[in-house]
Amino acid sequence: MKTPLDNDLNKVYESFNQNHDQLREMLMASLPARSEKRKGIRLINLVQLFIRGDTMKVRITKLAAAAVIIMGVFAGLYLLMGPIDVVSVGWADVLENMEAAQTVTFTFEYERRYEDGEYCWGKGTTRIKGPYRRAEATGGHRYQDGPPHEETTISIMDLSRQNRFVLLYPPQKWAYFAPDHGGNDTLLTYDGLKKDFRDGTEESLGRVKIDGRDAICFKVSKDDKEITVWADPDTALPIRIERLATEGIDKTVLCDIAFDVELDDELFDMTLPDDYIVTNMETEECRVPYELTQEHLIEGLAVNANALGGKFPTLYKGGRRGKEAFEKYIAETRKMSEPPVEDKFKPSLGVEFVKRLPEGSDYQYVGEDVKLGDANTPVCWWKPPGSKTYRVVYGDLSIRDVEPSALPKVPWLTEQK
Amino acid sequence: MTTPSDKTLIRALFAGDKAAYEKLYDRYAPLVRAVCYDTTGNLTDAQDLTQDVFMRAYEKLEYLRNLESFGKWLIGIARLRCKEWQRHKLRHRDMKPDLTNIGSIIAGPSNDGRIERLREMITTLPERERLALHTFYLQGSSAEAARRTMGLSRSGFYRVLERARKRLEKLMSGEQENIR
Repeated sequence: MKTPLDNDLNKVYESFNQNHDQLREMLMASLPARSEKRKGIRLINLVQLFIRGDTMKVRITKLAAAAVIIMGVFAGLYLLMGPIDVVSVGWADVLENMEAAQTVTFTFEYERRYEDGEYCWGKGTTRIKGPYRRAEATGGHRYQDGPPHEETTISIMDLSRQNRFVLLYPPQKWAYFAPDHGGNDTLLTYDGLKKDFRDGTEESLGRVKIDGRDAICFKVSKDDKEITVWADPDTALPIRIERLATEGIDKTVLCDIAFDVELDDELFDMTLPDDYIVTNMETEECRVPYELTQEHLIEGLAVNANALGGKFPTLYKGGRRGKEAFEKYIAETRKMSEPPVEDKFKPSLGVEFVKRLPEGSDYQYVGEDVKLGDANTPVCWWKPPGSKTYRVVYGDLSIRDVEPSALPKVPWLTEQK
Repeated sequence: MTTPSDKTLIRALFAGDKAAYEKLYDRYAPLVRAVCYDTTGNLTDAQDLTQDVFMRAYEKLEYLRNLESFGKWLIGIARLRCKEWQRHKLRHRDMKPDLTNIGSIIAGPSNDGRIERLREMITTLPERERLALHTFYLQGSSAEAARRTMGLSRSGFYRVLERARKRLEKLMSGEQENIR
């Protein structure tokens, strides 16, 4: 039964029939005559004719036979390389499928080179379900000729909760958490493709074979970014997407793309495991599921000193102030070698121990360039609660309690005070 | 008599029957106009764009792989054409209206304010819902034809259509409240 809304809608849509007959006549009058058959079909027919030998059964001239052979060569190319005609599936069709999919999974690989010489890479799997994005990845970075740093992570984002975000480091049982506005480029790669290239300029590259499959290939470009898309010619589903940006220093490849596969909700559970150390990315607060001791500080210092080839860094939650010191420290971090997986977060735990020292602890770090193993040079000190002496850590990582008057005199420290 | 499928009509056209394209035009032109109207907001430009879409489709038809997806493919061309129109409009926003516009010569304005408002409200719906309404009401209220054009399952199509109708009802009732 028709409702009043149905009746109104029928009236609305009647208007789209206005002047239909005149418009049709005008269109038909302006259409050019069509060639009868499709190029591909013609070539195939010739090949079939030639293969069957029908051409030799009838009286044909040598010239005609040669022509057929030449056509056969072209047809052979057709069979090997796919049809040479222009393709129908375009970015709009692929994009439409991408928009319509309820779930998406794909594998990705990326590499980026930055102007300051940093090089990043990574590969993994992304799963998308509704507003959730989950990526399991192994990725790393390296500064110029510095050592590579690589890590394995799981990241999950919920776009429906203002990009609520968790980043898990399972081997180290460490997690970062952003209640909202979490940032992760890798997780948003797929969304970025849809958004950034929505009205890009499209250039067809014809039909190609990729991973043994027939595909239609085209480039879509916008501003300084470009993607190359290989899509299934019948379904307009993407097979592979490559993204290049900034003259090729940022490359991401998406492949094994599958739509509407079953994905368990548990994959997108953002509950943080109880046994993980969790850092809130917004407040920088750190939840540690056990008590921190000075041993954590010693371990953290040791990891950093070893990573720097046997000397302590310029800064460690304290140290010499100023731009020069900070830049020196940044240069050091770039040269630091990758610690073993189990030691990766130990420097952070040491810092966390320092952050938790009560007010009045007077923590000072003076370890800049001190050699690991130097038993006479202090690296840092602090005053334990209720103590009249200072606890001093030396370059050999030994700890001694020292009277305030016996603390070494550090010129820059006196100036800073 | 059975209605010929899109595939049959396109094959007839390939075989030289130009009238087959007229039938395809009759089947899809109102739908394409509605899709274009969502962008242009006026029937005149929507009619012009539709002519262009059918012209392009005619030229590119031999490259359509799946002949059964003609409707969906046509909407894809219409979307692209609309984007071009928008870009052109942005570039030439200071230009005076084109008086040679064919549609403006033959199209007449609608006098029914309520219907006009309803048409405007449809343009505010999400694209998917708009398309569900267009395909359904412009393809003889046939859910089968509409869902095929949209590439949805039957139940999926009904879900989208129902959502669109509910949203429209809400919008219209809100307007009634304002009038009172």
